[in-house]
Amino acid sequence: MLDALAGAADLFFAFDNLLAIVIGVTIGVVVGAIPGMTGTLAVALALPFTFYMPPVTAILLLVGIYKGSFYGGSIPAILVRSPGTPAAACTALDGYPLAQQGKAGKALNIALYASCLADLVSNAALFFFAALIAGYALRFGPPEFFALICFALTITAGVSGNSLLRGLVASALGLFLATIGQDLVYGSPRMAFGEPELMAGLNFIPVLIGLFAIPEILRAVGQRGTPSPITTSVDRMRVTWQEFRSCLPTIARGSAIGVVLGAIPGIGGAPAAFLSYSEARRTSKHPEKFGKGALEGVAAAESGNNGVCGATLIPLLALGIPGDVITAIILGAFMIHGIAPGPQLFQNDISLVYAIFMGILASSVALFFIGKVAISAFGRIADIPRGILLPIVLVLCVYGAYGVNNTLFDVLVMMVMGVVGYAMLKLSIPAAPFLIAFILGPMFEDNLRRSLLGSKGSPIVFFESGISVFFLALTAFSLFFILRGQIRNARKKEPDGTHATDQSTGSR
Amino acid sequence: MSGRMRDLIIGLGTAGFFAVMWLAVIPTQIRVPSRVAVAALSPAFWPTTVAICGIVLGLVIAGRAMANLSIDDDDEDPDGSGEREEWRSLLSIGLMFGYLGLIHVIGIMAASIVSLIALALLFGRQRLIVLLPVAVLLPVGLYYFFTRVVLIPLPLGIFERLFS
Repeated sequence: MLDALAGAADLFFAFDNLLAIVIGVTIGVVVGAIPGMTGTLAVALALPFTFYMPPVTAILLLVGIYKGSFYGGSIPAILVRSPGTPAAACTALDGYPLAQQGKAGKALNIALYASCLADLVSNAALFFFAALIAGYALRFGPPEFFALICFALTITAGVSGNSLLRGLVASALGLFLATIGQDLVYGSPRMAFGEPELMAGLNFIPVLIGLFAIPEILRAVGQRGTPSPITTSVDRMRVTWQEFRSCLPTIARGSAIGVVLGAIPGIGGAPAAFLSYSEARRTSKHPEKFGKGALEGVAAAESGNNGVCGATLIPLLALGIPGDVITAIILGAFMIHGIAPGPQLFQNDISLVYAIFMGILASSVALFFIGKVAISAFGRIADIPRGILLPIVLVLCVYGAYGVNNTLFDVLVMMVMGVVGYAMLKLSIPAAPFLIAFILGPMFEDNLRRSLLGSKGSPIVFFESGISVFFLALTAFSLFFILRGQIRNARKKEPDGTHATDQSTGSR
Repeated sequence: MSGRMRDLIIGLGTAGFFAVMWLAVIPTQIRVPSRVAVAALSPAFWPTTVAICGIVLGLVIAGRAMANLSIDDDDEDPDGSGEREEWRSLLSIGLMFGYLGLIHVIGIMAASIVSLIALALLFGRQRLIVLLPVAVLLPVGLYYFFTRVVLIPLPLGIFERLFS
C-alpha cells in the first residue's frame, strides 16, 4: 500500500499535472458558463490535444474540464437565468431570484462552496467505496432503472412551486414533447412530420435555453419601463458563516444524493440536482422561500449536481463502464494511452489509479480558487445594463443553439420553446417540471419497454428485484406525502373559500 | 388577468392541445406495427397515455376554475404587466424570429449585428458608443471562436468571401 502511494506520488507530483488541472478546470468553468456550450463539447475538443501527453496528465486535464463545466453552468444560471447545463436549470430556480435581489455574489459563492464540498464527498466515495458502489450500480437493469425514474419523476412536486396541478401540466408537456423522434424498439418515426431533423427528436440544449433564457429576455423587454433590479457589487455580497452553516445539512444530503445517482450509469447531474432540491424544500423549515431566492435552494441544486462528478467515475474506473457521454470520452482517452479501466487496472497498476485519485482531489481544490476568480470576473456581468446584456445573451444563445448540431433547426426549436416558455411564464406554469420530464421521460419509456420486452410483457418483472421494489415503494411514499400535503394546504383555506394570506405566489 | 381566468385558459388549453394530439396527431404521425404482442410495447402507447392524462388534467383544472376554486393561492396577475408591455414583448418575439430569417438571408454574423442593435434599442435609448462596438465585436468574436477554436462552420452569408 505504501509503495503504491509512493509510486502514485511520483506519478502525480509533476508540474505538468498541476498545470493540466488548472487549465482543465479553467476551460471547464468558462465553457460551462457559455449558454449552449457543454462540458461534453469541451472534453471532446480537448481529447486530441491529450494524445501526446503522459496518461495521468491527459486524464487530469479531461477530468478538470468535466468538473469545471459542472460549476461553470451555474454562473449564467444565476446571473441571467440562462443555465449552461441542464442541472444548472435547478440552480436558476433560486439563484436568479437572488441575483434580482442584488445578492448575486451570495448565490455564486454558496454555489461554489456547495460544489466544492459535494465534489470532495464524491471524491471520497470514489476513493473508499468504488468497488462497493460499482457492485451496486451493476445490479441496475431496465426494471430497476424504471423504478428509479418513477421515483425521480415525483421530483416534479418539489419544483412546482405552490401549484402542483400547473407543475403536472408542465410535466405532461415535457413528457409528450420528449416522445418526438425515432421509436427505440421499432425504429419508426414518431411525430416527425416527415422532417429529417425531427427524427432525432428535440435536442435538450435548445429546449433548455429556450425555456429558461428566452422568456426572461422577452419579459425584460416588456418591463422596459421598470427600473432595473438593484445590483450590488458582487464583492460585497458574501456568504456569512451562519448562512453557510445553515446550508451544511442541505449540502451533505445533496452530496449523498449526487453520489448515489451519479454511480448509476446514464442518470446524470440534472436528476440529482432536482432531487436534492426537492428534498431540501420538503425538509426545510421555510419551504415557501424556495423559488424566491433561498440560499438553501442554490446549495441543494449545486451539491446534488456536483456530487455526481466523482461518482460517475466509479463505474468507469472500477468496471470500465462509462456513465455518460463525458466519461465515455474519458474512457477513449484511457484507451488511447493503452490503459484499460476496470478491475484489472486496480490489480496491475494501482499506482496509476492512486495518482488519478490524487489529481481528482487536487482538481476539487483548484475548482475552489478558480471558481473564486470566475465569480469576480463573471460577476461584473451583473453590472451591465440589461439593454446591452440581454441582447448579448440572445446572440450567445443563438450561436450556442446552432453549435449543437450545425443546423438552424435547433435555433428554431430554441425560439419556439422560448415562446412556449414565455406563455408558461405569463400563465405561472413552472418550467422546471417540464425540463425534468423532458429529460427523464425517454428513460422512463425506454426502460419500461425494455423490461417488458425481457419479461415478454409480464409486469411482475418490476417486483422481482429488491432494488426495484425499494424505489417503487419510495415512489408510493413520495406520492402519499405529496397528496397529504395538498390536502393539508386545501384545508388551510379560510372558511369563506378565500385563501390564506400568507401563501406565496407560484414560482418558476 | 384573474387567477380564475388564468386557470380556465390553462385547463382548456391543456385539454385542447392534448385532445388534438390524441385524436389527430398520434394516429397520423405514429406508425404502429400490425402485430404488437404487448400494448405497452407499441410506439403509440406512451404518447397516447401522456395525451389522455393531459386531457384529464386539463379538464380537472378547467373544472376547478369554473367551480371558482383556484388551483393555487394566488389570484393576482403574477406579472402585473400592462398592455403596452405586452406589445413590446410581442414585438421582441417578432424580432427574434426575424433574426432567424435574417440568418438565412445575410448570414449569422450580419444578422446578429442587426438584431443585437434592434433588440437593444427596443429596451430604450442606449449609448451608441458602447452598443455599436459590442454589436460588431461580439458576433465577429463568436465567429472566430466557433470556426477556429470549436471548429464549427457558421453560415456567413454576405460575409462569406470576406471571412472564408
